[in-house]
Amino acid sequence: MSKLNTDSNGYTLFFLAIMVMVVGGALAFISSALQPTIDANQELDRRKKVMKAILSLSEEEENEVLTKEFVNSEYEGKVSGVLVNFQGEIVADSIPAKYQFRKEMKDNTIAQEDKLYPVYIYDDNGAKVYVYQMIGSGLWDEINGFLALEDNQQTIKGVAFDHVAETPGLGAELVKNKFREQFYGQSLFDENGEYDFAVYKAGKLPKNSKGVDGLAGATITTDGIHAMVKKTKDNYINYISK
Amino acid sequence: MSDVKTKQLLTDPLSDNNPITVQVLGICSALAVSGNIKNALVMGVAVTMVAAFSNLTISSLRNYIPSRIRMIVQLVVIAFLVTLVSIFLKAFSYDLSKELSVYIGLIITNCIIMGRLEAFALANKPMPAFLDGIGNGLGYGLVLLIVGAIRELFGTGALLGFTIFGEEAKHGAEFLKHGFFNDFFHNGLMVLPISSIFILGILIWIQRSRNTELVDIS
Repeated sequence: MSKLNTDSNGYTLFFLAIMVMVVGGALAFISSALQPTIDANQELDRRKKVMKAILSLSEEEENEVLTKEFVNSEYEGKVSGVLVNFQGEIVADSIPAKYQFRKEMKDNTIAQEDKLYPVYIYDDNGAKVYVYQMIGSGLWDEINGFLALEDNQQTIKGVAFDHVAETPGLGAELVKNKFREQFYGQSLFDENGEYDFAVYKAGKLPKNSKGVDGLAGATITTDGIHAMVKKTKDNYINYISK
Repeated sequence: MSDVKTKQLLTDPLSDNNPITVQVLGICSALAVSGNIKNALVMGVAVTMVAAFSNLTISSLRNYIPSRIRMIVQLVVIAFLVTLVSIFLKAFSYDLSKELSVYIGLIITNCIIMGRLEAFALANKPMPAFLDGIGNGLGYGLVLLIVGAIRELFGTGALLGFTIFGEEAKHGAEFLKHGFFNDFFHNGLMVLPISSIFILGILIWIQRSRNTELVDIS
């Protein structure tokens, strides 16, 4: 067999064409074959965060209780979503599939007053838990989460946080129970109904005061969480006070 | 090929031919992803897999790849494997993929992989190339692990997430509650990638003082 001339233009183009087809085809096939699994994972992750905020469990309990089956059955059975406008009126009895929270919040062309906000309502044997969705900025990228208020719309039942790229070991600790559990049972408002809640810089939480002690070594993430909770209160205040 | 040589392919990159400290490849990700042990570990495993299989692929194709576009071909193979790893993680280990999403993408730009393809896979048979990939991946992982352990311990006071030093030690195990452990304060510099430069420099210094043949006099 004569030696293949691998340096000719024709062969180079031929090789490229075959390579692109093989690699592109394989990736497209694998990606579309696994896309339903990936979507299901993302949805489960979101539901898990909603349940974390509602149930306000300890770390051991979360690891034990929040299985895929439990989260899905509990979410589908007891959680209903509504869409509210800034004035606090319910505009949709369920959250439309095409509604995207992140897109809605990040859209600068729509004023805060004209945006729509999702509320998840959990029916805990008659007593309701209201879950509000949060989004804000950490040090490197987006932070987000869910804030659950008890039936009185004052006391925090639980919170769940997530982040995109906070510093591991410092800012990224916001997802940990140790930080989140400080929120549980605190009231967002004072006795006159004014907003009264703060996330303090680590170690700066005044004695006998309400609020949350921030993350050590992550001042900007801590400030981001403070601003995010406040912003969420602003978004939903008309619905909350109804 | 003798057994001695096969063994060297695996063990040389761990010390005297370490990709980071001797070949000085892959420094960028070694600085960025060595903040804690867990990330270093997963990154080490992922790079080892990609290095091994891209070496295998390129070495098998080495007689057919047009030399003028060989780098493009190498990049396509690497990017293909990395995208594959990323998709599989998302589908089958979602929590891990969320934690590592940025870092997995970074493997594509890891110069160790392309460096080994150019230096070894293009001139050797598939099997030695495969072993060379594994060896270099492990050598990379080892350095990452050392740097990661130092940075995690002094930066956050923990090892593999378990608190050892600092304020938080007060809530930890009984023997950690004494002054020595919780008087310590986290060193913010250690959390930043900059600290890896110092740690890597010291590692290279130690290694070269033990094996003077590695000292490059030029």
